[in-house]
Amino acid sequence: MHEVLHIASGMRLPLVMSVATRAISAPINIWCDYSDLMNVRDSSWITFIASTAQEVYDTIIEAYMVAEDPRVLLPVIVAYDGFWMSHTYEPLYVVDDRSYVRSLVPRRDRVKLDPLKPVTMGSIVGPDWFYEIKYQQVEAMKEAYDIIRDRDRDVGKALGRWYEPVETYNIDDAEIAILTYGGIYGSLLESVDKLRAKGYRVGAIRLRLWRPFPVNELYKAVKGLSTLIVVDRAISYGASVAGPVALEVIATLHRMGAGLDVVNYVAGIGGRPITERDFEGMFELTLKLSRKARELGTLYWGVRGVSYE
Amino acid sequence: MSELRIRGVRDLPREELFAPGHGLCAGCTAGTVVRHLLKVTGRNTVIVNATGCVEVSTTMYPYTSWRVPWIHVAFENAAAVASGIDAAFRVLARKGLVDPSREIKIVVLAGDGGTYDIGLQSLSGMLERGHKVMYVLYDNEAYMNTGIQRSGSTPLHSWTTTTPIGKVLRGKLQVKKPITDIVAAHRIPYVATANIAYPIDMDQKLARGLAVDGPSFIHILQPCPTGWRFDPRYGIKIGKLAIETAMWVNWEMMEGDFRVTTRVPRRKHVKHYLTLQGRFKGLTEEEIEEIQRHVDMEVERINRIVGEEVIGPLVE
Repeated sequence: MHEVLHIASGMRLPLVMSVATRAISAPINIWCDYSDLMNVRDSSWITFIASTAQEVYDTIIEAYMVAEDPRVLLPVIVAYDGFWMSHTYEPLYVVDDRSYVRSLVPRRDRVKLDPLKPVTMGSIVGPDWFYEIKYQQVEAMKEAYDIIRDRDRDVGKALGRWYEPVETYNIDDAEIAILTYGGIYGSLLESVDKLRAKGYRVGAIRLRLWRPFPVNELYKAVKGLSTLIVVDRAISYGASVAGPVALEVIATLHRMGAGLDVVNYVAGIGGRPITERDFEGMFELTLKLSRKARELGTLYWGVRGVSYE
Repeated sequence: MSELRIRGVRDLPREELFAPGHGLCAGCTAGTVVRHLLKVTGRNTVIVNATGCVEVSTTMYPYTSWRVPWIHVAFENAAAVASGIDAAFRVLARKGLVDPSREIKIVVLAGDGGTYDIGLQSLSGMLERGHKVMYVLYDNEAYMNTGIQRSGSTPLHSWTTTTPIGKVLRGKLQVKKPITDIVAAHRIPYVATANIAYPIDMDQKLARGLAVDGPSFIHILQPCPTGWRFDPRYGIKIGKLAIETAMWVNWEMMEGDFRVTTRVPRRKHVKHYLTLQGRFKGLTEEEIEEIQRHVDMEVERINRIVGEEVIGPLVE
């Protein structure tokens, strides 16, 4: 279905799709990692990654508010852990009054297939116009960022739950932080508490918005850190840094001139559980390896037969 | 929906909903198919076009040849898009956002590549779900748009760029996939085959397809000067010969009732059809006879279904 994702965004269709992320064959595997989501990184879909069932619900409402904004008109993915979040139970507040939810997303008139006003949609575009049309998507994605920030606030006011593109935990005095995304953030918070109890000055960062990438928010979050550990849940085979989010984080921090070490772990591939203990292990290995951890590019956590010590 | 009565060309509206200035090849009969199609459907229509010749030749941005709403999404999913439009209109009507009395007609237009091969599963899904969509297949028997590669529709021993006629290969090794039989096996209300050389028969079938309550499928043989390698003036002549040799049979099936609409009392040998086209150049007598045997078997099968000799014996 990869092809139609590009078509949906190229036709500027304000769709909303929730994605229970899953490993990709072969071998066939129906458990969680983020290979499918990271594969569609460049398809021009606004992409949220939620970490609780409640956040999935709230973000889907927000997603319609963003997608249908005439300044945006891009499709939105609301991603979350397949199996871990899609096939397990969590308590959830649901808005009783559906008309209240509808009132948050105004009905807007837009171009449609109407015989009274015929339009041609999805025509062929040659080299003389294609670039300009695709550049409009670049602009729309840029524009979407501030609109998402506004809608974050609207959702907070309307539903009483507040979200940020980049969330942090115990970051203010931290020297080292661990950044990840999706449902495992809850486990990360637990392990930060445990590491704090052992005396480490450690914090946690969660990436909630993947596209458009929250450049300034990330920069703000990591300022003052000496090392950032990025735990990725997908592999970009043969890449300089194999974790897609780590690659983006390194590019962003280089661009912003932030001089800190970024260490990349890949973990949880094909539904391999990532527990508090795993985060602690990655943290301890990073300390032990020191500079070498960065130079390795990517460390594949928990894979049999691979050791970095 | 009431059916448009067509007994002759004078019954067709003069209004042209397919604008001139498109980029189809000289002598291309796909343009003729579209022109007739829109005369039968009228303005109150949404066209869903699969990727193919008609799509690329009629919508070169910033121009369009379509005076009705038109959408193209991808090669494989025209029937799925049409299903979505059908479902969307129902929802909009239920919500009072579209007047249900407008009865907007939804028509898929797809070539053989987008139907026989790439779009087969979306087509089958649309038929099985029973969407009220008319699917029009313009069949030029290969991927003409991309440079004449074989498709599931390419007939036996036909040359294409991927099935050359030479020492190793003798054109396409397989016979044409019976797509209309496959569609008919879905038990939809109306299935028909048509031929651009018999426009009134074709237009009547398009009108019937629009009038039924449910999916309909119109399969039109569309001679292609570029891919079939013939002089652009011969498109209609070749269409006629396809019928006269029974390489093509015009039939329809309304609610399971099978009828041949163009009877052929005396049949010509397939060589009359084949020799006008460069794509069959270089075939041996034996290979031509092999094609003839396949046609003979098909004629026998059709006559058996109808229960009388609607396609006559080989005479010349």
